[in-house]
Amino acid sequence: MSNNKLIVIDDEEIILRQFKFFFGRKGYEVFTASKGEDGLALLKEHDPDLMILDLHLAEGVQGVDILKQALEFKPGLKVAIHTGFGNDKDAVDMCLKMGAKVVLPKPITLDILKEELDKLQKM
Amino acid sequence: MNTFAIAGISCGISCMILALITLAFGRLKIHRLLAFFNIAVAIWGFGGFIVGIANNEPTAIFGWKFAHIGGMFVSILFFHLVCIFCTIHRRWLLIFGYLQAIVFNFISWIPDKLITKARFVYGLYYNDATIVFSLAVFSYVLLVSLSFWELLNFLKESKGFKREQALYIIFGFLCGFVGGTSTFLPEFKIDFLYPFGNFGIVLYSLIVTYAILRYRLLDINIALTRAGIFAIVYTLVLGIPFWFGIKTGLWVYSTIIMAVLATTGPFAFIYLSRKAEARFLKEERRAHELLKQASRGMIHIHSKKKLLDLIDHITTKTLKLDNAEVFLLDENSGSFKLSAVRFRSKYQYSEIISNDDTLIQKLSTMEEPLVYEEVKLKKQELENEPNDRIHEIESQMRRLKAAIIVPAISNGRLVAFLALGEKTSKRMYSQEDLSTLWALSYQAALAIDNAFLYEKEKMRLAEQSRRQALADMAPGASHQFNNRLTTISVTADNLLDLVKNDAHNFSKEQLMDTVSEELEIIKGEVAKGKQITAAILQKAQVKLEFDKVDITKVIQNAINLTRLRRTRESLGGAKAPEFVFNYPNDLPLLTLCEGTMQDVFENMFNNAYDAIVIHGKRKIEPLPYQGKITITISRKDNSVIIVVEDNGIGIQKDNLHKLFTELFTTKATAEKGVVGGSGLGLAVMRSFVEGHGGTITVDSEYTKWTRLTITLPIDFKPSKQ
Repeated sequence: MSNNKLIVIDDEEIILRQFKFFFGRKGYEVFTASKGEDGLALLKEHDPDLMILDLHLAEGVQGVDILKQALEFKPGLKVAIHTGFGNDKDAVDMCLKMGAKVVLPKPITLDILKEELDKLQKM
Repeated sequence: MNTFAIAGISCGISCMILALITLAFGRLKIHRLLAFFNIAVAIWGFGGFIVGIANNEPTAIFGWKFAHIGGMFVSILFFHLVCIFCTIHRRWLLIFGYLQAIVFNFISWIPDKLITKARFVYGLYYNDATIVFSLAVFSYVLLVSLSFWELLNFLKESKGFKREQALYIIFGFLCGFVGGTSTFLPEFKIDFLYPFGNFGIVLYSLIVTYAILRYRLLDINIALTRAGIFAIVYTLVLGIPFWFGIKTGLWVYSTIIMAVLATTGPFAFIYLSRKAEARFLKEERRAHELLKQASRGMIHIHSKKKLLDLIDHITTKTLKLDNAEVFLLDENSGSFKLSAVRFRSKYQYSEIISNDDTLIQKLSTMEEPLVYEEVKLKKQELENEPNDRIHEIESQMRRLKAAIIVPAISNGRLVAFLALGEKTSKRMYSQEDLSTLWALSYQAALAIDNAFLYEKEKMRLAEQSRRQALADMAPGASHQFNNRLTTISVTADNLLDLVKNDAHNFSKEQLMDTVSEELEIIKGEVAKGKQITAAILQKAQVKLEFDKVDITKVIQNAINLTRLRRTRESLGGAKAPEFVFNYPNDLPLLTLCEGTMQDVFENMFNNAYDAIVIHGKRKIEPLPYQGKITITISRKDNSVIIVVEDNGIGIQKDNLHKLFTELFTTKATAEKGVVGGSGLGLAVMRSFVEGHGGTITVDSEYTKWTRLTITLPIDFKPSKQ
């Protein structure tokens, strides 16, 4: 059973806002970052067990690199990859190989997202 | 047979021939009149012949009477001829002239009134003038002088072919009249010269036949020079041996000398006339040389506009013309559009001649330039056939103020034509002018065809690159659009969940505030989604219309589209480039083709982006390297200056000057595997900017920066194409 801390890295401020609001109501402690560097800093500071990571960020370090660094820092971190590219198979496969637990294609409903996250938390 | 008889018979025969020729080939009133005139002169000649061979006084008197039947009509027929040639109306003088001819002729056949007795002089029975005869001679001199007076007045006003023709006619008639009239002298007992003047009439008949019947007259200066040289050469060729023979009596040697000289004569003549003409026509030769040079260089010019301006400029300048216009084929409509103008006082740049115009149809079949004077002559000949197309051609040429029209035909297709005005000197176009212009038009046609192809290729490339751009944009754009859908969907989910499951944890007011806040977010996202679809649609359209446009919007769109296109690019650890856009608030609207200019900017930003990506991948800068594309607009005088600078890889000095000459970007080959060169070539970009009356320059420091500067005029007026 993981802790209830969740970190969301996504360059869409609205996504961050909605996830924080939603998962906040559902009993998670949510940290958000729109840049990879900030997300990694939060990871180191708060040590959450769960992460939702957008593969493509508008600025700075990109998803695959973030995943790599995050898993290096915390090998047991349960990461859900959130991606908008159905055809971006290579990057997704690489993430799964590296240790990401699940891939959530965009657009996703919050119900499914919560289900998946709850499953991860219970792992 | 004496000289007087020979002169008489040659004059009679040559004028009779001339009369027959003019009757056979001429169709105008002036030709018929010329025929009558020549018959009159021929009668004069034959009369002279009778006088020449007469061995008693009564026969000679008959000869004189016969001669004067013609002689008395000569003056008035000449005057009548001049009236028609110069298009002047002298009704009363004509009536008087014909009356005096009839009256004097009537009198002349009454015995002992006009021609009564002869004096034996020069071995001839020469008519002795009476008082009434002097009256007849007086009215003759009066009418002839009047005719020359009218001709000289006409010469001052005339131009081109008509002027040249007038010169010939004046010269020819002068030969004839000076010759013919000189034979009057012994009639008044003035005996200082043998009356051989009727030979002059033979000369007259040759010159005038040539001038009246030929459309293309040889420049009279050349004609006279040639004739003069001919006369001098052959006077010497025949004169020297003759003189030698007379002096020494050694006629055998004299004949040998003559034979030698006669063989060299033609060569001397050719050599001398060439020399003289070269000097005489120095200016013309130089002009033709310049035209030939220009036509050789034409094929290397790809811009239609530049090409046409060159043709227009070079012809007006070298041939010194009043005006010159070039009409170019519009490939879509098949019509011909005025595309270059020089020195035309009242020109309309929008002038278009449709392809079913008679002139265009005529030009397509021409194998030499169309000369207005010739068209006009043909029109006069066909005055009775008003449906003939020559009338339309004539009026069209007159409207265009074209002295000649030179068609440019390539592969059997008329691609352009050159309408040239009068020469400033009012001289006519020489045959050499015409053939040089024809050669020029041939080269021009090839060059224009080439430019058409080049333009088509350019359009095709632009179209291709536009499609490529759309294809490139699709993944990025759909990603962005999906992102909008995701945020909308997530926000809606969140709201639903809040209302269904968690509403009890919030106060009614809290709930209302949250709901409306989230709905606002959804609305905002929908608006963003619309922008994306609008951008895609806009990109897919090929719009080539000029409008008053806010340039900052065009640039902002290009920035957005570049971002859309490059969203998912892997940057190898470098930060995504950022755009910095500065502009003053008081920029005027510019007349632009929005789509085209947006292409230009997108292309520039893409290039800048590439430069930054390459720079980042080479890891020249310490990471994290922040690429930056800075766009700065400023205003200077009547221009807007847009500077686009990036801190990417830059361009090597050696390549800098090549950038605009290549049609294709070299990026793909230079950086294989790093960035594909899918954009428009800089040459195409430049042609777009130039199409807006602007300029584009590039400067760069390798490994540091690249700066492109576009200058656009504020008051640009696009030509309607």
